[in-house]
Amino acid sequence: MVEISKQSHNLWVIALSLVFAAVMTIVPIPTWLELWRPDWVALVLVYWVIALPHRVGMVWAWTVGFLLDVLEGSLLGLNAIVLTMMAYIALTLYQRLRMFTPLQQSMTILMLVGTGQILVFWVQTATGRNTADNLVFVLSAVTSALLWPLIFVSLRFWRRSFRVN
Amino acid sequence: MLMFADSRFDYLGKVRYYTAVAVTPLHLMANLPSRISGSFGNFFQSRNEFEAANARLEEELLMLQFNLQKLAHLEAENRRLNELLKASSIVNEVAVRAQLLGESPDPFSKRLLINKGSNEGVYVGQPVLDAYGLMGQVVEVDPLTSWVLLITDPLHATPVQVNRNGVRAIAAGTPDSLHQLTLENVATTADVQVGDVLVTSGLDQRLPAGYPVGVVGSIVNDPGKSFATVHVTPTAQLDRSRNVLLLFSSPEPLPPQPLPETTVIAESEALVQAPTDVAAAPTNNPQAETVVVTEAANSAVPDTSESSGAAPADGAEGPRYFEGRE
Repeated sequence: MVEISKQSHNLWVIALSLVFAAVMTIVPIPTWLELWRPDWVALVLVYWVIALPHRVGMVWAWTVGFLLDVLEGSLLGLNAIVLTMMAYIALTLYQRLRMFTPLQQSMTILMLVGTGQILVFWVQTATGRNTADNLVFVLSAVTSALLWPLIFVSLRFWRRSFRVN
Repeated sequence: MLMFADSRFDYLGKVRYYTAVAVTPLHLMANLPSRISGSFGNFFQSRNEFEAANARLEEELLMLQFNLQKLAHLEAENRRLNELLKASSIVNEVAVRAQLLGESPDPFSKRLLINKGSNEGVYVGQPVLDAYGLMGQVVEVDPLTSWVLLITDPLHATPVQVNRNGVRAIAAGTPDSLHQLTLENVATTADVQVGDVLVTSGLDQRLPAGYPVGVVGSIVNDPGKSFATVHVTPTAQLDRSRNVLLLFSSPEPLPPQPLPETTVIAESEALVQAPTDVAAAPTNNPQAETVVVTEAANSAVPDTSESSGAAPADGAEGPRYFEGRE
């Protein structure tokens, strides 16, 4: 086990999970479900930041967010800055988050993703790209929070089986 | 900083342009499930079903060809009449099929991703249709893909006219529904009725005239408001069309227009010069520019014939007019 960890960190597992999350973000789903679509990339990213804060940080967040911007056709740098902000908060909180119960973690995710959504909303409104006049867009934070325990458990299983470190 | 640069300037166009190629496989991957289920459906369809579909399609083709028989004649006649009226000339349009790759994951924006990009000559502002009507226009072009803004997006407005009587209006998208447009600033006395077909008016010089946009669904005359509330249902199947049509305009060579004899030489020179200047200007989409030239030249000619021999102040409007158009 020691030899493996010396030779490779299996960082491709992290990249692959983030790519999978990005694909889940753009998979076509019915319109009425779109408001409820969880913020997959943020969830996966926050997991890796909590699990491996020395590996995954704001550079990863910015790069993934940039690709996501091109993928979604949104304002270039919007997702990048929002994910960077989320990664920063997660980096400052990771020691506490590891101690939290799943319910407490979910509540933190709710606040984190919700803050991100509001930031997206601000920027879009400031650049004239958003016409929503209510706060329904934070619904995706609720789904994200509900999904968090599942994401956490499955990614931890993945991390352990591939010995990512 | 980056966001500001992207929204205000065009510096990052290239960055996005080339990154888009790298992420195109992800779009294909995201579409795999629906594609696989579609091809499985084809594979397991029975021979009887294929035969039935074939018979139905043949019948449809027969009917469509029957409807087409007189079209060529009518088109030629229409062109002759337009020439008599010295109206703007008709531009031939060629449609190229493109396939849907995805749609914007943002629930507040109605945009589609199609599988043709600048490699196939797609340009920003290009009209996109389906078999039933106008869908939208291209807003962003990458090498292999492009984004289409639908006509029902709240940021999109389509200049339309009522097919029955030519009343002009602007159909804007709404934030609520994918299948609803509203006509803006329609007077309560305007002759618009429920069931009226709206077609593009072409006044924006971007979308070609005469393509169906929608059908008037409801009209509410609120005495407290100065304008009527008119809801329009788009004719295009905005959420069902998997195949869309990209419209390329192939302008006809302009028939030589006899210039009226004028006493002011500078004026006629300006008329001959100006269109070529516009055409020679470096542009990204020469086809769209040519349309502008054609219309500008045609509408300018009767102006001068009326004002021939008049004060030179009238003639000076010629070149200024062209600059404005450009």
